[in-house]
Amino acid sequence: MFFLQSTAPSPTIVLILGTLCMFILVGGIIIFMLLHQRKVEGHSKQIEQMEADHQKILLNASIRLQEEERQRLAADLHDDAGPLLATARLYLNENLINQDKASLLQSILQTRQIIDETIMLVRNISHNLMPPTLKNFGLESAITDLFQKISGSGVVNASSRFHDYKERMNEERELIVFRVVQELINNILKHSKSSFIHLTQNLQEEKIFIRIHHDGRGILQADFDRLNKSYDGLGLKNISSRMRIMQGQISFEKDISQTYFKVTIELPKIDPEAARKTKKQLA
Amino acid sequence: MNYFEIPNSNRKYFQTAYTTFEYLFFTYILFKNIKSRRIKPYIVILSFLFIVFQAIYVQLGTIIRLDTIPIGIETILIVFYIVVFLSELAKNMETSILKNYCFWISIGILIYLCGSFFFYILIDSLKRNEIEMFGKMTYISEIIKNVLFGLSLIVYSKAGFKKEIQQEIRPAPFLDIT
Repeated sequence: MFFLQSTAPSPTIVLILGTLCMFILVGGIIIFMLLHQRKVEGHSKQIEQMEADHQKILLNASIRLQEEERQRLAADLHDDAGPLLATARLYLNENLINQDKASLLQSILQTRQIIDETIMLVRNISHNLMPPTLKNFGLESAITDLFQKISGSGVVNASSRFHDYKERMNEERELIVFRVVQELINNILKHSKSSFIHLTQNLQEEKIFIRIHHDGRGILQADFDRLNKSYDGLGLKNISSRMRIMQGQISFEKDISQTYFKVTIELPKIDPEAARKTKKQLA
Repeated sequence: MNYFEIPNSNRKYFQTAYTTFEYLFFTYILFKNIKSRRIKPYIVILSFLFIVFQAIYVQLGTIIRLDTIPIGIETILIVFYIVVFLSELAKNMETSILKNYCFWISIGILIYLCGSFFFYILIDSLKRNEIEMFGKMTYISEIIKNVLFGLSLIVYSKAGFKKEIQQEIRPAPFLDIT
């Protein structure tokens, strides 16, 4: 009844209150935008920090891997090459001249055999550092060679097919890709219990795609990201940092049929770093 | 020519033209800066309907002091576009909003329209002395708008026009399993 009896408010009051409300609304919008901006900035700073931490982990992993590699090399040289050379020296001692002819010949033959073994050992070590097939014949041959060796074991059926690899990448990039593939295959052999591994290479729109399928137990992208951020999974971190160097991408997923695990490596065909340098020189 | 020298019968044409031009100017700036392809067709349709409405209103409508209805509709539409633009801006804050020239323009328009909305709507119900008093108060929001427009020009000249390079998403090729 009160509302029915009450008279309509004067236009002046409506004008003042309405305009006031409008300004409050505008103020609210501006404050909201500024607070939201601050929140977004905080969030992006947090992401940057996480990225920096991740870079640190990757760097540590890379240093650790280098150290492990050096230790392995030192161990190979010290434990294998060292004793062999020491033995050869023993055969070639001062008393060698005082020995009879038969014993002398025997000692020389033994020494030669030991030196041959040492040469073989050193060659193996150097092949581990840079596979000669990769250097001389390229990525396709090196991977085919690797897969043939794996198939030769009779445990896993490994095959590879390169569809568009007429032009070789430079030596450095080929080695990085080879190491990534090697690490992935190593992981598959170690953990997946798969019966086949198949690698395919394609080229599309100036990008090289290398895809590895296997039928064992595998990891998905979420697992890869998790392991990459944790202090475990040194090999995966190494893959990650190698992919960064190549400015490429790696993804872990299941194939369309959801039967097999699939790892896709995506790389720019032309080395971005080299392209940048050429552009700079031309400029 | 002074506005008050225009005969009363012709003032409505002048006011309609002013409102339409103002609407189109603000809408054009916001339209250029709104990225959503879903919203843009609606803006075009609403603008077309507004112009049609203006054409009908100028012929059939009666104006006492100001074209209050078109101004009201104009304000509501522009405020809607600004809300769309600001919500888009809030979703995608890669750079500081203070460095976005259109942010300052939209806030300027918002203050200008909100400061004069109720005055123009109620102008026919106000007394002459009230019109003079509140009319002067609308100058405040107009000055703020002009200052913010000036600021947007400075921001624009400093930042320049950065065209966003959209990365093409290319599908991965089909890899056979042999």
